[in-house]
Amino acid sequence: MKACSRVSADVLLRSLAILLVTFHHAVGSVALATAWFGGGTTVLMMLSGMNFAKFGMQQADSKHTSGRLLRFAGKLALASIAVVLLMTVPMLHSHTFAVVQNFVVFAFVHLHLWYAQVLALMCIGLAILFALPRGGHAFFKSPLIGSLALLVIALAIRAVCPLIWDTSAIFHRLPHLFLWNFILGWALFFLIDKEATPRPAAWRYGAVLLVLVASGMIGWGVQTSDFWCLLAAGVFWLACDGVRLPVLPARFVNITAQAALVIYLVHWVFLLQLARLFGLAPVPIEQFRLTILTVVAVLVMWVVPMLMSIACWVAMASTSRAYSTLKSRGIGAPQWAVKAKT
Amino acid sequence: MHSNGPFWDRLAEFGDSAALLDARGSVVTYAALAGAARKFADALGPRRRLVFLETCNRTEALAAYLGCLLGRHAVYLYSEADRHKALSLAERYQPNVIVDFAAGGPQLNWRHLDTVDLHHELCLLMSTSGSTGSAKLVKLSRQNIQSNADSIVEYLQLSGSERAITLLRPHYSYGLSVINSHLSCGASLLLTERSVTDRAFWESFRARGCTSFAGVPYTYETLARMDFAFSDFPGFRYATQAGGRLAPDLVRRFARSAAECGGRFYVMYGQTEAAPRMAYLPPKLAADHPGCIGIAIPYGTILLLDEDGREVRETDRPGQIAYRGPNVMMGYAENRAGLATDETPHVLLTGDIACRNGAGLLYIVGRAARFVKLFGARINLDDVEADLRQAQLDCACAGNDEAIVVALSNSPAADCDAAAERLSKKYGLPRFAVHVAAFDEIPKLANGKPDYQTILASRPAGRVGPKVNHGPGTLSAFFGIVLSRPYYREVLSEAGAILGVKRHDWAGVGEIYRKLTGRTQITANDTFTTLGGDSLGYVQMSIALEEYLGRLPAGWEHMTVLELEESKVHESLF
Repeated sequence: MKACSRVSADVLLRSLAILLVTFHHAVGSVALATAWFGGGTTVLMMLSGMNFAKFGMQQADSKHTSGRLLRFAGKLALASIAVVLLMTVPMLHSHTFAVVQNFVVFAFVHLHLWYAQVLALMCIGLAILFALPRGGHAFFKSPLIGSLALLVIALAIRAVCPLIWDTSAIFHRLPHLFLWNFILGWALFFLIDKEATPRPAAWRYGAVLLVLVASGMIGWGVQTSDFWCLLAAGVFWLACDGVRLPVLPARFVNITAQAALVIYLVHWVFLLQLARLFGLAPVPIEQFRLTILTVVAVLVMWVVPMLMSIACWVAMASTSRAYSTLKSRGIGAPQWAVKAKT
Repeated sequence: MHSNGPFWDRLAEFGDSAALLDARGSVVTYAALAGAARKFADALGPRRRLVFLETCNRTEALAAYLGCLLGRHAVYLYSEADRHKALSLAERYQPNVIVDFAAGGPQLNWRHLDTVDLHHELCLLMSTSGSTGSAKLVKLSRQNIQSNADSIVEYLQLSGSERAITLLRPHYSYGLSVINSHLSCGASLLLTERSVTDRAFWESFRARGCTSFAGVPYTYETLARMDFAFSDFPGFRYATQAGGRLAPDLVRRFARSAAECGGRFYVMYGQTEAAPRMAYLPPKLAADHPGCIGIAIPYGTILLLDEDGREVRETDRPGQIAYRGPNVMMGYAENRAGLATDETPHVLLTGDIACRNGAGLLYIVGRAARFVKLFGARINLDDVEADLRQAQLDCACAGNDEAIVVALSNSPAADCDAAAERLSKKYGLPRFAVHVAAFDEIPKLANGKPDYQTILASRPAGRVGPKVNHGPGTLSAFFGIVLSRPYYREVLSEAGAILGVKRHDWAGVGEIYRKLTGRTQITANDTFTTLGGDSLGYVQMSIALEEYLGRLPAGWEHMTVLELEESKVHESLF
């Protein structure tokens, strides 16, 4: 039996990012100070952008990309709506269906699903842009230049918009303020791709670092943990293709990476139930530092919801795979037909 | 491609050897043919043109065809009978020039003087038999044509001493391949527009020293009725048959007849998409294996692929014929813009289902499109037809994944009921899934083949059985699956595999794609991206592929199912 397994860099980053997100929320549910642990979602969004460029924009054109963006948005929106509905059936609200819950009442159901909703809205906006005859055509003439141009525009929006419209009450969790984060993934992907950027490796690596640092500074500012997380993730992605891990940790990383979206959407459900069960209330930072009980509470609030979310994903994945298997075997047809076949 | 370039650039090398002859005795040498081709190329000008060329078996038409190749123009060939269709295609493709021979010599009707964006390798456009009336054209490159001509020269053992009579028309890929292969090796062609039932055809064959001819099944069926024997023609060396299945007893008969006079009879298989030849049956095996299409032509490879895109290696197990070789087309064009691109498929999926026998020879068992899946069972509609014909019923059978629809010719209602009952029992299908209708005559298309669409449409709409009997994919099938015991065993097994408690034994890349995308149909040419894969599903997919392949190849997301399977094979070899 193999002692080690290889885990690719983006799978490891995805896993670490979702672990950080859940830890951040666990700390937030117990202690007031969460500023040190933010950054998981910014890494996830950058990875999302990279993967979208890899699967949806290489060897594609504007029409296909527009369609892919809409399908991607649809999946995110449906998953997000399903989770919100699950929690809010008694108090249905039109905001839920419009996927704009984060615009209206941040803590409407105490489910902080802003990432999925913001990403879905961004994709819809970008799909419209690619559907414009000139927009999409111009972009695909040179995806690298197109991505960099879009990144500059998105960063300008990020820098200027908060000065015009104060969205701090809703924690700035709006699509136009996170657009740069998603587009950053595109730009990094095309910069490092030899075909899109036919330059020496040193040039491409230098350009990636430059764009990463500049975007992080404008998007987050160097005083935030998000900036350093983004930078660390970007450098790690640049430096290695993958790592070898002992079998069990590798399996855990693979599972959490596969389950990232489900963990993100579902862990709040368990987190809130736990908080209600134990009557936990945020504690001041001084107490958080000193109290072992608080540390234990954070760990419980981190690990239990995460494991429950993973269990949900495993259940969903295994039922779906089993259904496909049986369908392909013709099971579900009347018994006499199956007998006749055999 | 031939090391000295394509044959149309080398015509003059054969100098004064005869290239084309006609029944009246006139001879066109290679030097003269090269000159005429050059003259035609010059008439089209130095810019690459899109040419629609009306062809026939006449010197002027063949010189024009060769001139188009020589001038690196892209030419679409059609016959006089297809003129109406060609004009309709011209509306869509807007050729620079349409050439016909209505007035004797070539008439160049200039249409559009703009520059057409033509792929640099593109030189020939052909309709397929399956796309009659459609705007879809097969794109063939210089390499496609030359490499196929080279292969044919090799396996037919052609030399400059051969002389074929042009029974088939040049707009038909089989007919064109006879011309290309003979001109490629300095052999000659006797041009005629006569048919095999015409005495003058055979008189010319004998008088002009012909050595071979090429025919379709209908040709040989006609010859069989005429008590034809190859021995009546002293110069005869070989005959070829392609363009459909010839009954095995006729193959045996002509193979023996050819062998008796020291000649060879070749059964061949191909498609326009392969320019066109893909397989041939070595003549010495024809009498013993008359139902076979044989082996791949030189420089080509034939694989049989199962539904998951995995290679079938066992004997007598069916799989779809997939062909790989330098003669595989550049893809299809459906409009003018499509002429600029090269979409050569990694393998050419023919749609024909075949098996390999114990001698390693391929034999066709049906068309992929002639298989339907009803209640989990795969049924070959050709087998259904054969069953009914055994019961002396004249029939044609169509079908889809809801029902089998049989058209019986001139039969009473009792025969229809009996036939339906017979099929229902034999294939284990509910009675409502077999519809048998009586027709005065079996509906046929213009080409004489059964009109399966009309037959299928004869089934009354909405005629379905009770809900419980719906096939997989419906609501009842959904509950049929999720309420079954095997489903829960499978769920536990999958969960165990995901968590690493048990090993995941993937059967192949096709299974992984089917299971993780939820699609029922995965083809060998599908890729993760063409299946609509995105960042939400890629981690699952990449991990499953790594489990199965042992390592994840770079760029896996753009690799086809077949390429991924092959990467596993290569990995295990090296």
